[in-house]
Amino acid sequence: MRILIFLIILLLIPVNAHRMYVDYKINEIEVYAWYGGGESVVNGNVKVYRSDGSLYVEGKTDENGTFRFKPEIGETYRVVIESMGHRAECNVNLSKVVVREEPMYLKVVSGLGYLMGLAGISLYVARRRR
Amino acid sequence: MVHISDGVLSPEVWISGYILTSIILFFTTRKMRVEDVPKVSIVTSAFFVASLIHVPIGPTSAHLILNGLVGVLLGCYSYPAIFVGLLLQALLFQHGGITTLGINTLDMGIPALISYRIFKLKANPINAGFACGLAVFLAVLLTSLVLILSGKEFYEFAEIFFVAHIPIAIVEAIVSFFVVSMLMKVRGEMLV
Repeated sequence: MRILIFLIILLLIPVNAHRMYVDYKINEIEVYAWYGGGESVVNGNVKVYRSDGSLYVEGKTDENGTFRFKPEIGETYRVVIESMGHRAECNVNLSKVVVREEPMYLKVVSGLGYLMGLAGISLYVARRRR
Repeated sequence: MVHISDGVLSPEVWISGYILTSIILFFTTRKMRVEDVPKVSIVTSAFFVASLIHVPIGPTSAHLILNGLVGVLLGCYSYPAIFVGLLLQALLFQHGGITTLGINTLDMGIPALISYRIFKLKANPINAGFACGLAVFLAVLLTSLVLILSGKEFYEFAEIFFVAHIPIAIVEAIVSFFVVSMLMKVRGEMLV
């Protein structure tokens, strides 16, 4: 009988030792605020709203422009950051977070292009009026 | 920093900003001549790009505004120039906002018109530098007033806001001094 138990234990131990578990838990969401061009927003007022519009948590961004909060799974949040008249917001969906910014030189070039276009149009209109 | 974003101001404030701006736009663009268009566009593009030059100061950062220089160079056309420049900044850099465009134009355009008046009193480079430095502070002052009018808890920041713009005002005064003194030597007739 003892030998049998010993054998069973012997058989079980390696089986147990090979069993491995992986699970995950989301503890924190980190939001990051910056001004166009890359300067981070320090000490900005952060307000996080639930999907129904009620306030979930509020605070201030640190010196790197980041703010962390504990989310509830399955909820989507709207994060609003304000600093001295500037305001930006983003939606945090726990399945994906996408924040993208086009390269700055593209924006500058397109702005100058618009201005040239505007100048051209106004010159054209002025000429036709004559 | 002087660009107020969408959603910060109450509707009464930004709607009245639009009304005031359209009135001023009407009066300032009325006399515009065809010959002025290229000059206005070039100065507008400089204004449009200038806001990208950031100067980090303490906990915040401020950027060049150049509204004073636009005022000195363009006179009353500075108002439409600033309007167009801000529109493009709002659309492309998300710097400022579409609803607040009227208010932002007011905040930067009125100081531009004032600096033009000051420059006209005595048309020399030193006076231009002074007028441009002053325009920065007037813009900051107007922006602060608007934020306070909207009931923002702004008092705690007001001091940082002003201090942050001291170096900006100095840089702009120097830039304007050199631009105006060069233009006076090379093409005096460009300064209206």
